Amino acid sequence: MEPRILGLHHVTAIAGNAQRNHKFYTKVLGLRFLKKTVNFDDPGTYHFYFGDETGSAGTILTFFPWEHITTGRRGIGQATEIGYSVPAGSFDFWMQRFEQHGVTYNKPSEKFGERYLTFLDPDGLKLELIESKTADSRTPWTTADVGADVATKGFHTVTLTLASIQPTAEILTDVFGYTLLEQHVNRYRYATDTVQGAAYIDLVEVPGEARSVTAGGSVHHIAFRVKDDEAELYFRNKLLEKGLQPTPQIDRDYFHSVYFREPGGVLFEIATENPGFTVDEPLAELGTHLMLPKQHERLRARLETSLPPIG
Amino acid sequence: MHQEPLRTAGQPLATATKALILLHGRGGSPADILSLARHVHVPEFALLAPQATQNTWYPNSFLAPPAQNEPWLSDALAAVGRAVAEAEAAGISKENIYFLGFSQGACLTLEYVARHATRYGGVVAFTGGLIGDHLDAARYAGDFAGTPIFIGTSDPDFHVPVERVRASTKLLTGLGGAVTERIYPHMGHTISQEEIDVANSLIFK
Repeated sequence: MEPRILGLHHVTAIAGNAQRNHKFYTKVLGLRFLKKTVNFDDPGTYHFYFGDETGSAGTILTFFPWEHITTGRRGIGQATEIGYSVPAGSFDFWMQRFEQHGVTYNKPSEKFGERYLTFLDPDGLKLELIESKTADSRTPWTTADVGADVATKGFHTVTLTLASIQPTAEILTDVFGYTLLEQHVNRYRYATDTVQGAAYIDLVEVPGEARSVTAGGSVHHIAFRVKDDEAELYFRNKLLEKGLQPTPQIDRDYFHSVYFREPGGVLFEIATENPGFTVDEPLAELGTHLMLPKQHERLRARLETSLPPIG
Repeated sequence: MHQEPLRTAGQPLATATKALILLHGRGGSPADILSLARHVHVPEFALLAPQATQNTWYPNSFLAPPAQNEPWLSDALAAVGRAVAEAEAAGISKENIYFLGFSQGACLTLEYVARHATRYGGVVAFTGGLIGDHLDAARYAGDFAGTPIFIGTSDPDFHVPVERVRASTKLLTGLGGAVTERIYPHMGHTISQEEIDVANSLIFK
């Protein structure tokens, strides 16, 4: 059987202050802190991973926190909204919580027959909580404050803002096997039937909008999920046949990656499920140690004192 | 940012014994910098030219605090790292990997090699210096083990202050580089024939 794209794998965004970022996602939003590592390309800064208990694909939000980074701007050629699936009836809890913690949010609204609540993280990254109208049986990570009746279950939709949706839509349909599910005005919802959660990509067409600036509070790239290396190389070949120029496979320690820039300007990644986050820490201890890739292990003593403490 | 395709020219990577990684300047392209390769003595080299997204490796001056150039700067360094990895995957060892950059590409060249100092074939920086609002020695590690490095620059240069070039030379020398620094009075922000000649005699001999 031909390999399939299994929805989203992770989303990577850019933050400013590391401690503030960590506190928001673990304490306010109630995600599990999965991995404390460093930016492989700039080991003087962190790379944080947040998600469910095991770091299931489709739940993973990752950040590069760069203190004093300039603020980005949402616009063309960018993933502009990250939507989490939450249980129906949880918005009152969340709005109260956002009030308590000084989080900027909008009143609930509706798209494609689903209620959603928009809010901003401390760096201005735009997120949504969405009451999915289809079943979402994924088990959420819960905390003392955020119980299973309200907790996020992982991604629902990521929205891309584009000058023209056509070239991007073709990648989703012709290469990734997504289909157009619904359209409302300039918003087009594409879906894959291979997974229950993290199955949607919304394309929003706004030809007159300014180009995005990727910096603090914006998404760096979105990653699609495949089962294994074989599936990844299958899609890499399909991209080459389509005239796109994907990178070679890159080892990211917790998954293997191929990157390419889709024609609408958004950086896409394909990421494998293997080997996962327990490759260097036991499940119970995920996120508790500073994990360094082997090429940076020699820097450990220095990094342990220079990286800001988190917790 | 810079997950753009690597442009190649010269000898095929599979059969070449040496590789030259060329880094274009702000607003430049792999084609520009590859055209420069015709003037240096590299007939037996595989030529690898990474491309910056929207032709810019990072948005602000190289003298800005590094965080203000993120995430572009880290991604740009990663793009250079991927070119190195590609050459190594083809069996070319680091002693046979060379670097050449102009302006923003020269800054990126020096920053990359200083963060990963080891014995390379050679390094040519046409008008550039190490990156940051100040030079933090803790950022750099390794030992160039005598790698020949050439930095050519103009005095004055509108973008690259001579003091930063001198400070970079000092730091690179401290990491074991055999640095040749040439400061050309009123040359302008360009590459001169004289610089090409020096690069050929010192690095591509």
